[in-house]
Amino acid sequence: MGRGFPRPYFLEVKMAADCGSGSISSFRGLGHRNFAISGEACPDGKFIVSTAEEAYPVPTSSLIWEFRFKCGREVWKMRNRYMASVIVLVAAVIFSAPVVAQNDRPQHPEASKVQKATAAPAPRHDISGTWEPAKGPGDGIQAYGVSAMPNDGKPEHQLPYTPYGLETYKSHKPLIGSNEVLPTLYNDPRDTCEPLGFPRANFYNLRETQIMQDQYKVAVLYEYGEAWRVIWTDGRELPKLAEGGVLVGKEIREPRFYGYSVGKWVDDDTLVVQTVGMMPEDKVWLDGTGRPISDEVRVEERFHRVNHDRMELTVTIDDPKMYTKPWLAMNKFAFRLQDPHKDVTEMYCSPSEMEKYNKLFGNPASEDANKPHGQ
Amino acid sequence: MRKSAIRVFAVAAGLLSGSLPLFAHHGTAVLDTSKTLTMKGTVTEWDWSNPHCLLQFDIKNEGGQVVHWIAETQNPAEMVSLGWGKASFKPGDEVTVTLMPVKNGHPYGRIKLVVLPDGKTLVTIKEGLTPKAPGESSGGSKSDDYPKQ
Repeated sequence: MGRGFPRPYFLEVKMAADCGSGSISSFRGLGHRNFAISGEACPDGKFIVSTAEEAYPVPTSSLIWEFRFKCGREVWKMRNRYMASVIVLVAAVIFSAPVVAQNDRPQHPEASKVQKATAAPAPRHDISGTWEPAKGPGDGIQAYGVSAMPNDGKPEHQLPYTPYGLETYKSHKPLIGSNEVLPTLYNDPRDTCEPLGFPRANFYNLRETQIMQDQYKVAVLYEYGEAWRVIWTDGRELPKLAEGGVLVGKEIREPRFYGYSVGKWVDDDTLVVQTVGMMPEDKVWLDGTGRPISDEVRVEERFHRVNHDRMELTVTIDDPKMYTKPWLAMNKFAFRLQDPHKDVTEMYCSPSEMEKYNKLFGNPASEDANKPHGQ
Repeated sequence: MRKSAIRVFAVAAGLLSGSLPLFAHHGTAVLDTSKTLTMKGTVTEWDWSNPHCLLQFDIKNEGGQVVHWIAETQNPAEMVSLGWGKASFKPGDEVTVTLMPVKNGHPYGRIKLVVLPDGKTLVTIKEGLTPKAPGESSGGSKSDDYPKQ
């Protein structure tokens, strides 16, 4: 292993005898600078390799590669080929280390251990549980904006702004993303401890998410900001947008940070949720990079419980004030079911703590940050 | 499969070629991401608070003068998952701090790791805590073929 690293490299390989029986083969490893590398062979014979960096670095390459395998009798042959890939991978990781010591090459005790795992089917009409982003809690930070359309300047990620939408976007000064400003210059409502609101709760710091439901409603408890919302599944109609709020029956009701949500089960394991009646654009942002959202937005969420342990969330934004057409903001964002006894940590915004942080660190650290040292 | 092997190598090589750190609350605009400093110091205060925890400590520079440093970590929720806590430090603790300094040359920085008096190391990095970067898919969004079991 490379000397001076806090953790050793390791590579753990789990192999299943038959990928057609529902068992899963996988490997995971740690490399130079703690880059995590992992892979899973799926029961349908496909193979997904995922790699992820740690320490909040920005990866420099696409992180998901797929390997197509055949199942059944060809598994052993495939396994040998797969091992060849792993050897190349290990070689790449070790070769990149600052110090390569032949004799202390790590050997994880779990290496080559055969293990079978099969997820149970999804329960009918039930998305309750404590859910964490499948790739780890940090996967939901979305520091570059909504996960399916990162704010990276690429033409394919350009949002269909209306002129007013673009003007609103340009007036925003975010602390993260490709247009980040210094901590003294932001105007993100998040940093004065305003509620994130919806749909931003899905698009910024989406972490441990607790979902509880009964026959009338589904409650979603977000870790960030300790915010919650209720999705009604009792058959009521979605409120209609009205001047200054929404029309619930004959009553005009106020706009809300987390809006008015109605959900319908479209099959045994998919809940489709419509939400309207959120705050206007001077109160909320769409994501951490300052994209706009307005009180005319209609949001569709699809909660698809793929199996007992995995759920995917897909979100579509339809905001005629800000965007010329509906667009996909989150595409099958994956969650992994957590231990029901897990005690979720609170993650709050405190004005007094924010003030202290800015005074002690944010302001002095930002001072003259764009000037060469010593000037 | 040969093609796949090349792909794996390309992924590994791409990952290892470089990176920029990124936090959830603010980015790297204030930081000199090319530098890493390691220093021994004495803890004066440990603020377990949002949006970032702050470790304050004194070091002696080469001239024997005391320099007061303030360094941030992630937020408490993140740090709990990394094994840190409100009781991780107390004033007087002798620690070795590795951090990324700010650009302006003042004694501020972002902590990478801290070695405690008993030799235990606390890190600010962990497998799986990975924010999305431009052009990257989100969990599952490129994995449309993930098995429907």
